[in-house]
Amino acid sequence: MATKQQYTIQFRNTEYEPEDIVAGIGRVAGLGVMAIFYAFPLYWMASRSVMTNLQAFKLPPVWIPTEPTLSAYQSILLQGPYASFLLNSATVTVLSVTLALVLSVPATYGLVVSDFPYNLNRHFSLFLISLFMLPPIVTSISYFNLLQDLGLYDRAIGLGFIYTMFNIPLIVWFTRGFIADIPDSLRESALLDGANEFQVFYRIYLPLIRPGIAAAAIISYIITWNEYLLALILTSNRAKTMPVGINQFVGQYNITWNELSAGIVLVVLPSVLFLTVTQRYIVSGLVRGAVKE
Amino acid sequence: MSKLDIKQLRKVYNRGTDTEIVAVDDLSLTVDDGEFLVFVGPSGCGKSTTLRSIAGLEDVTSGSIRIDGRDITGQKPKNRDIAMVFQNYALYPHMTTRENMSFGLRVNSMLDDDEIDARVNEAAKMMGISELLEKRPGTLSGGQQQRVALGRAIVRDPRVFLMDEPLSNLDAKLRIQMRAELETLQNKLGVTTIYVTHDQTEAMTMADRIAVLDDGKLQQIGTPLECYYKPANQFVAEFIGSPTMNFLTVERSGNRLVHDAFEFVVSNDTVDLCGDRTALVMGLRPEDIDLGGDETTNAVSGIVEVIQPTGDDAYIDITIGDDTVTLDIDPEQSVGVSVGEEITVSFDEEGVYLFDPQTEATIKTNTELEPAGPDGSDALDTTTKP
Amino acid sequence: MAQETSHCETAGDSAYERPAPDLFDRLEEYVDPKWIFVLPAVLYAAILVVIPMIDLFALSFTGHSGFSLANYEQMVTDSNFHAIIVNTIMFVMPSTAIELILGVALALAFYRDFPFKERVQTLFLIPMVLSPFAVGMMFRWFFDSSLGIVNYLFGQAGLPRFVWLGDATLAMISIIIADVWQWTPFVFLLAYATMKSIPESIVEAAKIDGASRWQRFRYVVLPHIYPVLLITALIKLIIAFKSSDKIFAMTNGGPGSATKTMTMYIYEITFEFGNFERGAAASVLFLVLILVIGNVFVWLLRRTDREV
Repeated sequence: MATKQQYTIQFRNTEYEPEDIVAGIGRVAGLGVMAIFYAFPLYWMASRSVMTNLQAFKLPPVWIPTEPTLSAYQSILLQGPYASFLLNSATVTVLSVTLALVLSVPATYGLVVSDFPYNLNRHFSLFLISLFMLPPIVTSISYFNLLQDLGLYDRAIGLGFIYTMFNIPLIVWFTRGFIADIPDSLRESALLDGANEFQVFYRIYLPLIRPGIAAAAIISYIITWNEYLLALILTSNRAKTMPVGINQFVGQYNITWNELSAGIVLVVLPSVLFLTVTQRYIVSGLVRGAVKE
Repeated sequence: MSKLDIKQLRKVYNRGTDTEIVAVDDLSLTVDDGEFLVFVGPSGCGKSTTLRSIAGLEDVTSGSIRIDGRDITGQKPKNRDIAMVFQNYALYPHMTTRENMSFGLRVNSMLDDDEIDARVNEAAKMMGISELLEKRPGTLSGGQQQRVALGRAIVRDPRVFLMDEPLSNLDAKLRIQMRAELETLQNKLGVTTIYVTHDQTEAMTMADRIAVLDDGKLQQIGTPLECYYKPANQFVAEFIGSPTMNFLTVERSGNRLVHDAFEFVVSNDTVDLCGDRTALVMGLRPEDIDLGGDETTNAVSGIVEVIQPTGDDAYIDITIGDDTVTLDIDPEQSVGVSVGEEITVSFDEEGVYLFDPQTEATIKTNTELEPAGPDGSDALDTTTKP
Repeated sequence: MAQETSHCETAGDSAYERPAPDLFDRLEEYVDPKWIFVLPAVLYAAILVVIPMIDLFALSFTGHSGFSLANYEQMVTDSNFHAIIVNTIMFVMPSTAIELILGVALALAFYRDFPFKERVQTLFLIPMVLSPFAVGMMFRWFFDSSLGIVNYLFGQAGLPRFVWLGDATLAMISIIIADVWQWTPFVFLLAYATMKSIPESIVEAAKIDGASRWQRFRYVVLPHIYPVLLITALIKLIIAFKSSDKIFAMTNGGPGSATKTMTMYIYEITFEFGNFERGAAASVLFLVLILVIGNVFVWLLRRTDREV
């Protein structure tokens, strides 16, 4: 102890030991490297998207776009089918997230607050949450046939119904903790006040778990918006969504790099905007969902 | 305006496959119109379960609950016309005080908005929370939330009030104040009220009658003084009163009660009460034991272990033989006493309680005071001290 | 029913008039509402999972003439299929391990405050919300042998240039790097939030007791975040097993089949070769694999629960 004291360094009234300084430098360096590793790809795509195609793939690279242009966006939004891809993505996402919320939030509420016979609380919860483990490819053959039979193949609605199933576990998982955090006495008090079970749900619980619902909705939205495989299998042309559509930038012989960049920016932009606005909800929702087993 | 009848109420929880927990066991009692009845007992005694059964929040296993003769046993809570105040107040956090108080009337009455507002304003005035009506529960203090919870119950003008430990989340000072207010309020409204607490002091000070529960069974129901002076059994004697009653194991030999460390001579009346029982448990309330006494007549000596002055009282623990006995005496009397000292104490035969060691049934109660006697209030005083 | 009559009775005796029962009140008389809350979601999921599963099993045991184990037999003896399983594990395990280590390290770096922390945190969270396919396209470009920035920078630094996506090992490494870029933030987020929930007094106490940095991490922080890390690892593993978007975008399974994973393999035999029966058999095996891994983690979690 006493010998260690001799090596401490005085800075702004605080004593630092060599160990602290090494750790501090390591920490700053590590953070710097990570920040570059994370920021660079994002910057690259964003900057390429406002260049001409020649500038975009030129090496040595054009680091900073000197004459920014929106031509890439113009051409993909006005000429290509990408506007309809974006519209399809939006339709599918809104439909499936809404339907999944309508189905899952009441179910989660029922499973948390009521007692079911035969240990069904546990079985139902486990069933709904474990749907998360289901790889979409496994059931995709059946979905393909089902949608063909129903005439919903290559329709945004059909894809939306399928995505709904995959959103159910997420919403159950993320809203469970929020619902369980509300004391039972609130529900009991409302029942004694004369409310029926449905009034308890929508007048007491729904307003109180809004942050949880927001988190669940955002996370479902992100996953649905980005989904690739099922969209690839269950649509062909008319209902093609953005993640699948990006592939069209990669032609057989030449790639229009600035348009590819713009396409990527377009598909990720809504998510990034969502994230910056609702970061707090996502973080708390994710954490609460995970911590509450 | 209502009378509540509980007949042979039984509530059994099934835990796992074969384990059954009997929470309430064959409970029968009647709460009179306008009465303030307190359920008191240690945690797990079934008092809360009984209350929740009355409210309709628990399904009962068997038995019946009637309000004014109408069987409500299987009914939904909303059809029972009962209001409940919860330990955590259960205020709706997203609603203002006004919305909290009017919620019941909005969802379950045909009253129009003006009438609802009028009722809320009146109840708020009664509870002194008129200026809090537009605030949310999160911004209120514990005491204010408590008032809002009470106000919400009053607004509905229910047949029966149920209160589940409503004061236990308040600090000590506020609790004493709210106790008095609650009592006044209940007197004024005249609503039949059932109040659950684990705190015997609360029960003694507020109740018209106390129902003492233990292990799911009703031990005794009676006025606070009856329970204090005429406990039905050793459990009630121990539970009611603070500091708790001292218990000493004695053998009776003729007129003498023989303890390891002393002998106590009792009258023929007491001997008659004992019948042919010789093994007995002797109960002594701390306040019935006095310092000093003549060595020859029923006096006992013991070593002082602990002295706890509380201000207007002093508790002294002394060891008599292998037993520790607590005394509750005037503080000025305790001035000369020091720890380790041997002192002499005495008590009168009237203040001696006797219990059967097997059945724990009461053999002899306090014969000095009649529960309704002029001295009764005096004796009660000692129990209200914190 | 008795309840109907008593309802009227209450209304008559009460201090004020009660409303007539509405639709939901009436519904409550016939069905316990809890079923109405829960059953729609359960039935919806059951229809879209249980029926396809039955379908899948039936299909997987279908041969040229009725019941047959041929689909499974073929698969079990097929060295290609073995390679696919190895590929899947070689993608899932290293990427998850690296993400866990980097994510925890990042969370540790964030444990103390620094300027612009909120902004930097947002930056680190962005990849998580991006379309994996789009991320795959980005990294495909970066790792492109002639137009990619990676080879350009390697050249500038005097290092050899590689055909990243054309070499079996390098392609897998490239994919893992892209996956690490996207999913480290997920681990970081959960680890960081859990770390912040450690009561400061415990860390302070360890400091006063003279615990070194490493000891504080090993004996205070790590035990605290361990259960959450396990859950995080499980979630990430399942996502990795399920997902293939990034690989579709970067290599489409190539070169040859070097980066082809289970999902891509099933997709290929089912939708490109049209062999639904074999696809179904592969799906069943895939499901078994995921269930086994899921259960191992649940078991691990239970064990730590008991220890804590």
